[in-house]
Amino acid sequence: MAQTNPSQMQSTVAQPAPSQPQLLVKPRTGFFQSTRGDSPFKRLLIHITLIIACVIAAYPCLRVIGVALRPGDKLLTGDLWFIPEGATLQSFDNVLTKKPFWSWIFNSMIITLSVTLVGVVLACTAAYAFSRFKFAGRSSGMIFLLANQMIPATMLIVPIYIMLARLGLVGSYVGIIFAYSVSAVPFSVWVLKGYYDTIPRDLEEAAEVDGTTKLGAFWRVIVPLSTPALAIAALFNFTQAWNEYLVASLIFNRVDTSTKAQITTWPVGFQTMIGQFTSEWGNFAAASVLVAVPVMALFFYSSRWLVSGLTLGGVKG
Amino acid sequence: MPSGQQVSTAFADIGRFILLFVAFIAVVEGLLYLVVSNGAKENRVLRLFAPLALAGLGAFAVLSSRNPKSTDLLDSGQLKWLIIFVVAELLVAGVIAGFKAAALVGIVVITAVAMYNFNFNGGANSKELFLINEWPFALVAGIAMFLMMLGAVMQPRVSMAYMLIAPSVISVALLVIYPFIYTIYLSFTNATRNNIVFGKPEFSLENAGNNYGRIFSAPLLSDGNSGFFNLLGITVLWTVINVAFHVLGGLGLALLLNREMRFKGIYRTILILPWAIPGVIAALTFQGEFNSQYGFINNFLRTIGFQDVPNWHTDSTWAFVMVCIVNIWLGIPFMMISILGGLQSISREYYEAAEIDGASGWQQFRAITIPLVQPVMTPIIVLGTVWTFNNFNVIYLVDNQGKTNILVTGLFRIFSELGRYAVAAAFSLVIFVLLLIFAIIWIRFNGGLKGVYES
Repeated sequence: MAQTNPSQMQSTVAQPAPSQPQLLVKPRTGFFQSTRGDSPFKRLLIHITLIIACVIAAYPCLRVIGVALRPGDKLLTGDLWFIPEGATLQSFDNVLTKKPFWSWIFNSMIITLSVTLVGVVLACTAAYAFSRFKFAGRSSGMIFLLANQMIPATMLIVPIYIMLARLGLVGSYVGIIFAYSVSAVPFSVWVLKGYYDTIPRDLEEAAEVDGTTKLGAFWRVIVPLSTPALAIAALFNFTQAWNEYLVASLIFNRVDTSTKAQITTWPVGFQTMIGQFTSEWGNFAAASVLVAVPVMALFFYSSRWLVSGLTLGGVKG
Repeated sequence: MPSGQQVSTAFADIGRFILLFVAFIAVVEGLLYLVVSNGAKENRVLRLFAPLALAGLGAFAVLSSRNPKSTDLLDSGQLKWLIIFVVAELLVAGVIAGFKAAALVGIVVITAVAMYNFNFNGGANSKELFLINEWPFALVAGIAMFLMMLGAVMQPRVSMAYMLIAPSVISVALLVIYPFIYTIYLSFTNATRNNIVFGKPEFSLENAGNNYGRIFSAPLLSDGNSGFFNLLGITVLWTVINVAFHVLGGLGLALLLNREMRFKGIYRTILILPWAIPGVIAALTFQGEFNSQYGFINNFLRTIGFQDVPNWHTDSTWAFVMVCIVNIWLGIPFMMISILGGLQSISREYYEAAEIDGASGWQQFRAITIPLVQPVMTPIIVLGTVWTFNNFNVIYLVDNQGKTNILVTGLFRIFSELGRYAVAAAFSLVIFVLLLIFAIIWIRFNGGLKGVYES
């Protein structure tokens, strides 16, 4: 026995003992649940299915890159392969130098950053009150915030547009920042409240015994501890504002009187580039690549804890 | 690069926004403090809120009266008024310690008069503080506000909580509740693009009858055959098709991925690409790629032998198929990831036990997987249904010829293309009632929102 090498040992252990086979039986291969022992044919089938799904998922994305690399005279071809003949960076150059690309990005950036800051500040204080205080109207306040999520944005566009038009705020940053930052507040409050609920109250009580106020305890104890949830709320505000099209197309979309440049955010600006399948197609694709790559990098970087973070608030009974 | 002027406008606007925001917070907090401060008298920080509120109120009034065409942060006229206000209100604030209630009323009156006298629009046409100058609405709003404050006074010990939630609740109310009431008002008028900003829409029951009657009887869009029931039918079809494909596709891929296998991480990463790509870019890309001559969809169909390829953008049936394909492509990854999370939390022991009892794969799927994944799937399906029902971007951006319309895109077209504001308002209320019915049914069957707000 002493000479038996480890691999043989393992194989003997893995073999079901003849006397009691039903206890050590390996899970049989079933198509609908996960098992280790899939047959090679089935494994091949699964891989083929997944590869087809991956091609369907990835091809349109790769295709954008391909169109962006096409030279001007080969823009409108029926070629299916996504790396074009005579690939060139001409479209990128066009976008960066001849289009108001940076102006659109600048607007989106300014708006998005302000929205993130304001939205998170509004939400984190409110969520703290909902989590820690008992007061009349607490649950109705929470329902009030959540019920707002049900009203479609398209419906509120009509009155909000008229409201801002009469206040003279159409085309100014003030109106759109206000509209965006408030629209993400209910969701952020919900996520943050769920997270605050998991932080033990003893920590704040200890801080209060040490002589700080309730607000001081919030600022010094709760805020640093809830960084993950704050990051999720900030990311949510950021992506909402960064990718918004409908509201921006109405209330932040004007033509500068002196320079004739269109002052707007990038989603609306991009939409003007792609009226039809025209010579702008390559420029649109190049601009899309420039915007999408950082956004997707951020998404993949944060996706793991974004998904788990969304359930932070939801798991407690 | 953004021009210098644009940058300075942006920063002036942001500066104005920050001032407005701080003033707004100060007003809310200060007024609340004045009303509910009984329990917090000893707190010096909180006491600062009262004068801050009054100064803020003045600043708010002055700043919102700016000329929209001016790029200065404050023009000289506004600056003068701002200084006068801050000084005057700080003076009055001194009185507060003694005669709190009287000072409060005084300040509100002074500021209201001042705000009324400012030209809100920077022009000659608008002197109204509120867009609705019908007194019944003001009365209702006033009573609601009074009740809120009364409720706060009854519970002096919790003033802090009210001060913390007030900014968000009030800003949400300003952006959602007030516009909502205004929508109801609009649906009783004859407002159109031409009379809304520089005129006065007429308020009457007759107009309401016309607006609501029009929705259910006449074609709503410029194509002449999209009536309400037509749009509703397309919306229901659109929602059912999309949610069904999202769930089936997501569940199928999640089941395939939920096993130990090679390249699992790579597959997962590639499969969530449609979720990661910004939605506007995806929608606009597909708008081009569905071009009947140059897009890859038709080229692919030609390559595999279909010569009679559909003309996606001009045929309304194919346009509907097109938007469904795009939205299914976009929506599957979210379902897949959510369901995968649910699948991974199922203990393997259940399956092993089922194996021993001789259950087949399909039986295991029905008896173990489905019941255990259901708690994860139900809220996502409900959420997905509402999202799809309200999905504006995909239809509006992909189908640029407007061949397919669901309720929300129809609403937008009535508003922005036809300029019939009153009809659009009435229409949006009808959509709201539909969503409300859906929500009520869901809450009935699921025991409500309890888990959400009860801790």
